[in-house]
Amino acid sequence: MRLRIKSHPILGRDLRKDMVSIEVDGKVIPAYEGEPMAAALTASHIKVLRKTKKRKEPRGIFCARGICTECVMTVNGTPNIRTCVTLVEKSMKIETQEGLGKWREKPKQARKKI
Amino acid sequence: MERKAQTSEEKDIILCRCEEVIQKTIEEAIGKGGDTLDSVKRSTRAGMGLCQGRTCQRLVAKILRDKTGKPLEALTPPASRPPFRPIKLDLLAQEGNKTEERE
Amino acid sequence: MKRCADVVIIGGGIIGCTTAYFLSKYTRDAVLLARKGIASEASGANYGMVWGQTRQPGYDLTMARRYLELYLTLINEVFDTDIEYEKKGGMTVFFTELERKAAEIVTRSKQSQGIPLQLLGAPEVRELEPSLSEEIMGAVYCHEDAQLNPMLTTIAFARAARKGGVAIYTDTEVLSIKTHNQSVQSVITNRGEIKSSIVLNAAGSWASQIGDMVGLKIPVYPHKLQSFVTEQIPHVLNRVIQGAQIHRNSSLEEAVQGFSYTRNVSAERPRIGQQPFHQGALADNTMLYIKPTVSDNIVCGTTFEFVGHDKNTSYESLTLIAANVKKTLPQLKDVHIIRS
Repeated sequence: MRLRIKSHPILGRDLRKDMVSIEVDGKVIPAYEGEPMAAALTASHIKVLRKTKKRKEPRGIFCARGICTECVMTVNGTPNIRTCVTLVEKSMKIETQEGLGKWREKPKQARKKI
Repeated sequence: MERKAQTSEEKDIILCRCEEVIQKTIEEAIGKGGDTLDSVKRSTRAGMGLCQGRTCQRLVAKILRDKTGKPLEALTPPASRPPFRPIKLDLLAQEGNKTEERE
Repeated sequence: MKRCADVVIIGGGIIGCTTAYFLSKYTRDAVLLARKGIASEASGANYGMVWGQTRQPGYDLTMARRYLELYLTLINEVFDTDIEYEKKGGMTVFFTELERKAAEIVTRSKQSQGIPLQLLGAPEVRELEPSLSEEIMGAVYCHEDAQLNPMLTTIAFARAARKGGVAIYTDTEVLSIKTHNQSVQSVITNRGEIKSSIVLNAAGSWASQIGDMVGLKIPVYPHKLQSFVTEQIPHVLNRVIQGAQIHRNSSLEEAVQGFSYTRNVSAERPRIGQQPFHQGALADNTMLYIKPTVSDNIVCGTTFEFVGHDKNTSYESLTLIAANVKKTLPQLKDVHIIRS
């Protein structure tokens, strides 16, 4: 079932053509550059966006307007990114966030010579 | 409107989604003397998560009203503090380094 | 609400609630009045450090050590909630040669007075805390130091007091105190009058306002420390770490002072009516403070100001704190701040 609305009585027709690739848990899905991540995920039927820290329960979009933080995922190594208000960039690496998520290791800074 | 009494299973309803705090925990805190929104927040963590109470505060207030009889208007909300939305530490840190150099 | 009581305690913070609990062993007729709620003010924003390393030897240190023992008894026998008490030791890190010299002096001096401090070099610091910046030269460490959750602790005392029969009234503000011939008769609140001949002033930074109600000059001033809290990020730090309280142009003597909190616990009365103030710019009154909590949020601080009861956080303060935190724990730079 196609979930994207191609023609809307008020918004008109979706004239966007070029799609980019983003990765979700290693799987490549199509997305429009600049659209909210949650839209691309929903269009690909991805509903479970994270698992909670204590009860490990699945969560997805709730308020869809950047307030509730239910829809957060780990993006390019940074957890707690709200997918409903964060826009798609090509080659984004998105992961279903387990609990608090894993922070990407930062390279150690070289010691400054005095 | 009369509400049907809830069973124990029904009280395993999550009110604070961010910190996964269930209704039973909130009612227990109220039962132990937590009669302000602030006190319930501090003892159960409801309202301390990523959304800082935006989703659950109303729900907790209604439980408090039901349990204590205080009307909603009489329940002082816990303090709202900046930042308005989560902000990266680095953004502030970079400004801080400039301030130190200036002063 | 009760109309008379043996004792009226004014203040719902740690002092009021602790006193209420211990009083409940002697009387079932005590009342505690909190203007807002339990731990609504300083006790709810406290850093929760039960440290010995920053104490002055003598009375100050003895009290701190008694409390360390007392907490263990209270946790096992009295409290009905977990107060997140952790005895992981405490560390004061330093970045400059001046601080290192001061740290050596502080360590030797306190060791000779019975406080078990150790001076750690950079490799030892990193063994205890692998995430810390490589620019840190060393740290002063005390294995006796502990940390806890101040809100939960205050609430635990309040619950224990309530179980012991103390009546706790929240949203109850004391408006005036009636006296007659140098003794207290009653306390007037926004919810009515309570007759009592004993009133305990546990009003924290409002202690002097309560004192004014009976003509007593109490030189307590609110001291503003700003902080912010990050989103939850696990496994970054194992314990509270702080920096020395120094400024950029500190002398060696000032740097040595900066490793202890200066506390006026002598019997000598301080000069009344003198408003305190901090010298220098805000950047000179900033101290590093980082606390990893049981909930994995990280509390970061702090700046020092005397600005009355203004509880606002300022952009300038938060940027100075953030800069310090980034210097100490570079991996935190991409973390989000959710509350200040």
